[in-house]
Amino acid sequence: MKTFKFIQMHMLGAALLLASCGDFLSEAPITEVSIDYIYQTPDGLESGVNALYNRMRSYNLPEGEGSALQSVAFFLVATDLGLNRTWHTPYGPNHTPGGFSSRKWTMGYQIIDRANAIITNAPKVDMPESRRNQILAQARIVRAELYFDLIRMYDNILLDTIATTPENAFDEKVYAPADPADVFRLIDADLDFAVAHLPWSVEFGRYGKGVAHHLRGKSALWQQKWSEAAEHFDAVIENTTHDLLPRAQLAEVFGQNANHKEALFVYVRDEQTGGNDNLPGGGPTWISSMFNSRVYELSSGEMVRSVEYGGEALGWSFPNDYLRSLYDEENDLRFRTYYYPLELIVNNPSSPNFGRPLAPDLYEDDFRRYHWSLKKYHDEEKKVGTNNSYKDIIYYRYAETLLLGAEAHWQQSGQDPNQPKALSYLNQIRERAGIPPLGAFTLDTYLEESARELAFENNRWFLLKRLGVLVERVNTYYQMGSNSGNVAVYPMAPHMVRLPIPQAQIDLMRTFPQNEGYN
Amino acid sequence: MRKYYLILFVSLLLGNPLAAQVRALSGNVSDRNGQPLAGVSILEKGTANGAVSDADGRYRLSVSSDAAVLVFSFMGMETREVPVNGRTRVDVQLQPSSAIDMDEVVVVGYGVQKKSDVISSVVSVNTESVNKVPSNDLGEMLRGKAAGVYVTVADAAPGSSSNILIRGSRSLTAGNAPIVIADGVPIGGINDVNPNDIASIEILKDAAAQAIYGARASNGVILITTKRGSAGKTSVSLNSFYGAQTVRRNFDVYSGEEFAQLKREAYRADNNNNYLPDESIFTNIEREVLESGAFINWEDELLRIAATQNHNLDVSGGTEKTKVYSGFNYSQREGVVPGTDFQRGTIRLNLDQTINSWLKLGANTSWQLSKNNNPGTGETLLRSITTSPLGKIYNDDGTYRIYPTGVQESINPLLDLAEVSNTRHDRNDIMNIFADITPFRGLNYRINASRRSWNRKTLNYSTANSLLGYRRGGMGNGSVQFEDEAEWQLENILTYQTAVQKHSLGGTLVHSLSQRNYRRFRNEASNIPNDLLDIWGLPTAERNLPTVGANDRALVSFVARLQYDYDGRYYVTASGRADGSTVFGANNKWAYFPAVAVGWNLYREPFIEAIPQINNLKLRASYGSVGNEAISTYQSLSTAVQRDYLFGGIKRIGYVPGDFLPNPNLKWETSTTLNTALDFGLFKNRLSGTVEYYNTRTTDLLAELSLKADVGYSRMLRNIGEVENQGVELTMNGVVVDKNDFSINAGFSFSRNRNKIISLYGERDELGNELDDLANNWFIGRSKNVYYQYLPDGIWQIGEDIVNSHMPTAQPGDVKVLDANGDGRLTDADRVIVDRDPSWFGSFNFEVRYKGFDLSADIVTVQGVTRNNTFLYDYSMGGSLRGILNGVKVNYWTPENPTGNWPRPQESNDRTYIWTMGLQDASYVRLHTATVGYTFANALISKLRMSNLRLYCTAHNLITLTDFKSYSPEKNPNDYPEAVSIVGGIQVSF
Repeated sequence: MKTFKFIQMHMLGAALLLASCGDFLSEAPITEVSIDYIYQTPDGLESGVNALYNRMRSYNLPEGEGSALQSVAFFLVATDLGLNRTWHTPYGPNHTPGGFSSRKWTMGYQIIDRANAIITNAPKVDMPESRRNQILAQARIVRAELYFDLIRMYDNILLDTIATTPENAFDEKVYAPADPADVFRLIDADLDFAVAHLPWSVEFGRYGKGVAHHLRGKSALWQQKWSEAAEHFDAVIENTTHDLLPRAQLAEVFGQNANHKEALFVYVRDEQTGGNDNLPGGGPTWISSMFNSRVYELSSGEMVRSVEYGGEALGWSFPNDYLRSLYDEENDLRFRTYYYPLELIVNNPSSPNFGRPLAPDLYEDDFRRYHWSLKKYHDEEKKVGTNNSYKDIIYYRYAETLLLGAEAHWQQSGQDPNQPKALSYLNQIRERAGIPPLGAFTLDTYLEESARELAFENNRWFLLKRLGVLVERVNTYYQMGSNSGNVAVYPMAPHMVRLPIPQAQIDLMRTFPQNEGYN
Repeated sequence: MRKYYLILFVSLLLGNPLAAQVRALSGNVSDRNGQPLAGVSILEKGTANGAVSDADGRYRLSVSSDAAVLVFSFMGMETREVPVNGRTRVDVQLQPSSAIDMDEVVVVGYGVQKKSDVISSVVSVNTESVNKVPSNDLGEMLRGKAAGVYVTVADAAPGSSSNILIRGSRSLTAGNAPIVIADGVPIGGINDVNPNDIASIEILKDAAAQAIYGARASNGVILITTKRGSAGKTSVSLNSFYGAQTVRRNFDVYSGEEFAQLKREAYRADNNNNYLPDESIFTNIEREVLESGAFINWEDELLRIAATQNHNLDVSGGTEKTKVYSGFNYSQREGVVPGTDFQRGTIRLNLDQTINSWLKLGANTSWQLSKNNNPGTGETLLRSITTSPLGKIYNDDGTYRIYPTGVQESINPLLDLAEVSNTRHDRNDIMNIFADITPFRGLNYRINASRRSWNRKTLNYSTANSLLGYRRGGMGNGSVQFEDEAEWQLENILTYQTAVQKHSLGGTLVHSLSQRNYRRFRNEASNIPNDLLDIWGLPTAERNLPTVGANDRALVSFVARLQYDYDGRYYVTASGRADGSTVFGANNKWAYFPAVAVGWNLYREPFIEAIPQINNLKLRASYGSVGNEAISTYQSLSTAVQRDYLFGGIKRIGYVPGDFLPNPNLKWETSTTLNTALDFGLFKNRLSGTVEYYNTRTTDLLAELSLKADVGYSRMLRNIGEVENQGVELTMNGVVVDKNDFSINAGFSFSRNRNKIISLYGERDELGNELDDLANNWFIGRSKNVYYQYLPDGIWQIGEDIVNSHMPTAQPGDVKVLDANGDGRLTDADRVIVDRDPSWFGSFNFEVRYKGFDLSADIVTVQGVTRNNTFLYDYSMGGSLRGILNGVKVNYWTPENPTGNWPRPQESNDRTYIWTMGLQDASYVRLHTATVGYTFANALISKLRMSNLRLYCTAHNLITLTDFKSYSPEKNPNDYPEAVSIVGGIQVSF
């Protein structure tokens, strides 16, 4: 067609030629759809929502390494339960506006803008109300989740609900921190809409009413609206969609199939349809290789890469001594299930000791080669020669709902140690783990139980921050080191309770203040 | 070979309709040996009336009076003026010119001009010296050949192309590569043409010369003219060379012992300064190798001496009406890294057919096939440096060990060289036909149509035993990619030439249409169960992922040019071009580029003619604008990217706008250049040269604007700001000795370019100073190519008062960062701007001929360049002294070696601020080529029925002097190294 047009051009005289130039010079992409499709049709809006899931997966659990993984690893590791050996050094010299990963801020606002575009345009497109509400509810829960994440990390953030177009992109705007009350008002309104319109039972991978309530309850906790929080957690607990897996199935909580009732929300990955985060199956994460040691590098050569010890590993971060001290190692099933066994079994087929426990003097004092390791992200299907894992990862879990619900009731009661609902929720967790119930609910017992159940699940840092004990506890327990000779508590400066706003963004915004302590 | 263009040129000038022709003349033109000279231009002085000698040197011409003066000119010969004095037969012998011939013809945009008439900045490159460089990259062959042309090689793998920068870089983000036009047709890259087929290369440097190419010209224009056939005896010439290549590196890596010690030190630093026993540091294998001393020298294992060869045959000849040139070339180059090689074959056929007195047809065609094997050497070369020497290459069964030392960071570089293949097949055709119609003398209409078609198939495969295969659990992986590009161009060119007494006037009108279509299909196959069929086992893969790409772009242009001169003394040229491009935003579809140039041939003024020492003296100046439309397609449109997701295990389509905010106002960059120059030739042109000064202001720069996060798009392409490039260029050539059988020619060039950002976004601070763009390291008043970072200031020593310093938490052995502003604190304000651009570059060349011997050499130098050598600090490149990866050897600090100038090794983490250690001076002086040759005497070879026989030997990149620690000062150590090569060759003509 183009060629024909081209030839035709030459046949015409100069005058005609000029007239038809406008057409010859117009441009239309061949392999990409116009954004008009997304925002002007019901199918397009739904595709826009689907893409939000794709982007959120990358935001929360990115493929590969580098600053993307760092932006996530920080919250998993840099708590009172973590020990870091190498790579990124939380609270270290790079915990600065220029050095800290800017990804959460920049990518967060980008996804917010895409959600804003759907929320702005969906009401203008003609379609059945119920279909529209499903679209809106999902876009709004994404927006709420992101604002909730940003305000918890940075405290001082921008609030923007206007979808960007080439026309309005450079409109005058004041760059100043938003009033947190306004931010939480938007979060709550978005989540209330999601709670109202999302069904309990949804396709695996989608947001449902359970996770909407859970997030809404969390938001209430941050605003110290205890009864409101309790109401939302109770709603999840009272509904039958979600529940703890029974004790006998404890191993399945973090098993290969995350499609179970304890999961409120799961980010799915799939090697067949994946390869990188832009693809439906996503890219491979390194998270399952971060938390276990390279036992196959023990200099005795008794160990080789094998599935049961997590195959190829990075050995960057580990659970620390404090966390270990919290467990009843004999009886708490979680100690055996959420962590790799302390004792290694020789697995080098060419060793005469094959199948026998590794001799005690062969456990070298080098954390890279051996340390007590976290198994929550263990992937049975991960190839032994790679750090890459395509395992589905539970991002919100019912056990957290129970523990937060317990806290909400306890706080609502004025911190009554005998508050029955608080105790009941807490003891459901203990009971499932095979340890005796507690008789009194205190801040310490709560934090300890939460540590035992939820360690390294992206909520500890925020929980401690909300309760005002983050700096104190990190400075007591968080460790850095590569062997028992040099491991030591690594200090956190008080101002690090807020992340630094990325320097590049401060430079661009010009008027927006950097968080205190970072200048 | 330029003479054939003279035919064309003169055909435009044929006759002057106003001059009465009264006397018919004829004659013979020959060289000093009495051999007839074909293609000599014979002009009646002061008119456009002329003729060209035929294959036997004969010519016929009618002149206006008995007193007419004939001007005989031919490239490489001294021009002669011969008064007719009433004769009817004028025989002339021409002498070889000693230096520059002012009547040499120079190709300019849409035409040719005599050198003396050129008033814009056009450099003709000596194709003979270009072809001395034994390379198959024409860019590399051009290095050092013209002032203001800066050539760098990013990747020296066989079959790669170098980067050419003409008078600095203007654009912040759009391309800075010049446009290459061969025989009037834009080609895909400079290497689409076989260098041996090239008759001339002209580089257009100022706006007056470039403006005729409008929106594509701002990075400069390279005009290539290929050889054409001529009437007369058929000539055949053969040129073949064969040679060997190796590399030379300017750094050491740690030997086995040294690496072991580095490792011990790294562990010691983490262990409260106590050495650990070797058992806790080294793996089984490492200890074994340490004891046996059988360390691996990975460079020796990896690099080889590689062969290179090039064979060229051309045949040219024809009759009065039909002329044919054909060229055949085959070149093959192995890489110094095993598994890499390149071969290319090119056939060219250029045809000229005269139909009648007013119609001529012609065609230029080129077919090129090439095949390139390169399994991706970046990782391999990296591993040849970073893989520990304390290991074993092979397993007991003779297969490669994946981890030679047992440490997973140290991967065997030989494995993937053997197990990964990547083959590119390129096909590159140029088909160009034209017709010249001359309805009456002085007017010529040419229609020029061309189609260039490029096609590439890339086959990639990693076997089950490759690193990838191993990581995927023992399966094969690979991809197939088909790419296709076609570019059409159709041009209508109208030229008119006339002269009235001493006034000459020429005009050119061009209408041009071009369109380029690109399509790509790629299928990536993961987990192919076995290696039986290599990548062709793709249908059996567990997963096939297809991707596509496509874009179309088109350009419509109108050009007008008017050239006037009075008496060959005073010149004025004005030109303009209008370009409409698809890639411009809807609101800015058309761009206009005017230019004007003036020139004064001082040496033709009586008061200079009186000075016999001065043979050429010309002042010229030009001013004009050109553009850069190097915008990727669809940047002004709002499009979505596909981001699907799985729900319940089922793939659902997801669309979302990407990172780029579209810009409907997007347009070209405009570069406005003022160029002034003085050309001179002294002592019969034995000393000649050009001094030029230019100032280019580029506005509406295409820049990727970083956007505030809340905008929701991270970047946008926008036209902003202004960048200045100003510089001076000096070229001088001298004939030092000029005897019959002994001559020495020497020349040098000097170029200096200063880049400066004049303005960016126009945002100002309270004091009214324009704000810098820190995110992109762009600073008002500085070059756009700078580093902006902390600088190291030594190493902290034991006993220094660290606590009260600007780095209170530092440890002895840490990098001491320069407190640039001396405020006792280490803050952002201590970052320092460091220029990256060269302060100047130049070349020096000479050629000595004595009897049959010839010796020539050229030396190129680049001075004042700073480059960041990541191998001096980066973990993954073995620079951060962790004892995990081997790396470039430095003198590191330990408590016992306080004079060490690199920080103390540490296993657990990179030393803070070690990344400040990378900036190095990358200036260099290089003996680029050196050639010795011997040409056999006529007496001998005529017996063999040859007309020329020469044997030669050329060395390429033989010596490079630099401080930069790498294989080459232009590249990092993991980039494919530039080869040092020596070839021997033979040239034969019949």
